[in-house]
Amino acid sequence: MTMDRTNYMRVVFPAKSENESLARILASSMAAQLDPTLEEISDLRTAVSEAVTNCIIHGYKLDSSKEIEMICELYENYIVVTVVDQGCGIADVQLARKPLYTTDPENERSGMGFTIMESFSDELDVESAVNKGTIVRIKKIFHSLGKG
Amino acid sequence: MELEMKRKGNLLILKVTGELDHHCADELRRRIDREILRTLVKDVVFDFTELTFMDSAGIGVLMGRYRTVSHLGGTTWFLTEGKTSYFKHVMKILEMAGVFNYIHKCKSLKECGV
Repeated sequence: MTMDRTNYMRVVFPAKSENESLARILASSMAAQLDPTLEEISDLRTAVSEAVTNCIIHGYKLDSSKEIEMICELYENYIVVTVVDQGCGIADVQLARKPLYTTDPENERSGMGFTIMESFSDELDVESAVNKGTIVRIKKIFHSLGKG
Repeated sequence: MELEMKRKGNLLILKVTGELDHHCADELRRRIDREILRTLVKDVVFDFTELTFMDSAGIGVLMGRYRTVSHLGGTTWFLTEGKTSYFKHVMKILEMAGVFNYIHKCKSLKECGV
């Protein structure tokens, strides 16, 4: 059964670290329209924050003149958040998704970004091409709503 | 993000409130490292019980300070008795990352020897 999209938004913002909080506020405000639990909202905020931080640190290597696009799509009992950058891309997505894998240990990166995104969502798709960019799609089902 | 630092003998109490993400992590580690070197305390305890947001940047801040403090022969503690519902989420992230293989959990400051 396919479900109808009930609401959506598409935003573009510069790759500044201030916008990590902006992105998670926007995504969680849209999710709040479904009235999920606080715990479910926390999971989504964390996953979105990791995705946007990855674009800023890894995709664009802290070049804040670049842009990040975020698309939030709301369905009856879940949200899909897609975060897109046109940065350096990931050569080996499978390797990058492994816990504790990081390309930047000197700056105290934990290498847990993808692991956290995976644990706090229901589906996580990562598409990437070197020097083209990365698309991360996070699907969070609000199981508390008991539909679907 | 706000940081409150208090010294009790050989222990530095680091209370972080608000939102801890990559945006504020650099400032946080700079301020904490400066205080550790300035006061020459041996041990530190992190109080994250009143955070309203944390992502993997929090893991980096904790593990980085753990490295500094253990180089200087001290112990890093983490207060686990948070009352907010968000604090459970903080614990979930830190457990997932295996942070407590290195950092000691404590229920109160008494356990850190003050």
